[in-house]
Amino acid sequence: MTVRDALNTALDEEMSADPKVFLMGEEVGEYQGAYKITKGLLDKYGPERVLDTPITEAGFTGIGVGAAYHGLKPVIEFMTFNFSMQAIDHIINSAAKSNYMSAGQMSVPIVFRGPNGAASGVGAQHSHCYAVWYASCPGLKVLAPYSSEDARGLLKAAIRDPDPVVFLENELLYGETFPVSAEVLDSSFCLPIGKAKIEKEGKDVTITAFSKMVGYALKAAEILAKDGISAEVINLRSIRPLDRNTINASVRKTNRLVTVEEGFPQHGVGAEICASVVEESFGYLDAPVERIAGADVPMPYAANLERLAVPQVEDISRNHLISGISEMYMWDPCYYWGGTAH
Amino acid sequence: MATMRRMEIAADSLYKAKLIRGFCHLYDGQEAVAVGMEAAITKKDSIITAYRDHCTFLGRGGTLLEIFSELMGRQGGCSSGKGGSMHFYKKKSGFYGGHGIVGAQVPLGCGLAFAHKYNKDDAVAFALYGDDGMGTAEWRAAKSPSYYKRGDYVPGLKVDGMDAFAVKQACKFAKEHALKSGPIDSSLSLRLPDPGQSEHFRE
Repeated sequence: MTVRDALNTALDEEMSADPKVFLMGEEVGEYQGAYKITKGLLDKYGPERVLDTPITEAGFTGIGVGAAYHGLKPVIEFMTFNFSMQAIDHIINSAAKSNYMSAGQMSVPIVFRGPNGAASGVGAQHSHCYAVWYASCPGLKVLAPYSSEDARGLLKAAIRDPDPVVFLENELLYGETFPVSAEVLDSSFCLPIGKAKIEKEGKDVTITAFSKMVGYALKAAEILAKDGISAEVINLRSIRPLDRNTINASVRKTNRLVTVEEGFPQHGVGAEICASVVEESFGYLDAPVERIAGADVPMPYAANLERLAVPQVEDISRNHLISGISEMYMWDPCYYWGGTAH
Repeated sequence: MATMRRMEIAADSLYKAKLIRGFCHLYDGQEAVAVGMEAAITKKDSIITAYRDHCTFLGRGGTLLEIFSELMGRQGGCSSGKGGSMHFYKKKSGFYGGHGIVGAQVPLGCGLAFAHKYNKDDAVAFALYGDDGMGTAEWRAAKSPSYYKRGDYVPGLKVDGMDAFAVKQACKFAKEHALKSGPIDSSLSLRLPDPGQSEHFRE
């Protein structure tokens, strides 16, 4: 099943099960979805439940949050999360904080979903990863599926969840096919929020990743296996809450950690994981934690520069710490592009 | 205008050949707007637009070499290959981009105008927007497509955007009006064939 179909069937089943669920966003209806994720849903559920909006994220996000205040269950689509910045006040101040500020009166059962992070050749304003922007805010849940199983299970969980959920998809994963079991295809299938998945067990090093980077980490693990290094690959699935228990248990087993993400390095997901492991499992670490992230520059357009700006499989496999090589291949593009000031 | 048209058609072929990556928003059909506007203003006036910026950039003094180099991600491009189709700039000629986020250039354009007013430099800012936001159909993109009425708050002009001389006169009038009285909205209507193909989803 492709990730696209996984998301489409999840939306379809949840809308069928609960009449309070509705979709809103640009091109979700007549156009069948900018990336065809909502294909067929307008025909099936009608314009009262699948709403095409004008190009005004601040407007329709506010409307969605207001509807959620009143008990409806909106699924708001951002054509990419870059455009969510137009609406971020509503996501943070109107949605995330309301339950706390109202001492539990105002639950906001809303889902914000759409593609996040780097695509291909779309430049700096269309390639930003928002995982840490949203994951730093208490009151939000932030999910990042990788496989079709993740897409189905996590989207269903997000729609059923009484709190605001930011659901970070990946444009380049939409067309990828993954095997799915009969259990995953069942309409009651749901994955728990806050639980990571160990995609591949290992004993020499823990590699954490989310979204597209899980695929890269698995490929890197295959390369490492040829060198006799057994890597354990953890698919985070949930950025907030972060599954600190699974990560720490893994590091206590392997004693080494490499974190992988596509977004910018400073204050990234890897930084938080590193802090968590240092706080909880310091004595178990045999080497410093290694962070692999995107380059610390706005995403360049030229193909060769873009390739250099995001982690590649070789960057992950090259950064293994097992053989005790003291000279690390540190990825600091500031040296290549003459510093951060322009 | 002929150069602009041939440039955009060439860019279209390069995009279909995948030599131009990502987004490529073409201006063929709208050349009269860029040309008419340039004829009415100076390089001290500012222009800011959205992502459909190739011809506006050419009008502001850009060269074909810098344009095609940029589109193809080469170092010789006007943004050294780092910006791409949507991010052309020429600050010394008063061209402020080249913006990817729909609508962003409007408040930015107001800021440019504010700076002109603040500096008392007798120049104006033109903020260009419209074209229904990528491929989104007009009836879905905005509440009211009568943009020139601007909610009856800012005075407006409705202009035939296909006529370069009409555009020139309108921009000349708009500049004089802006310097004397304040902002003015001009809606330049275009007659363009249906593009038919989406630019952000290809099977």
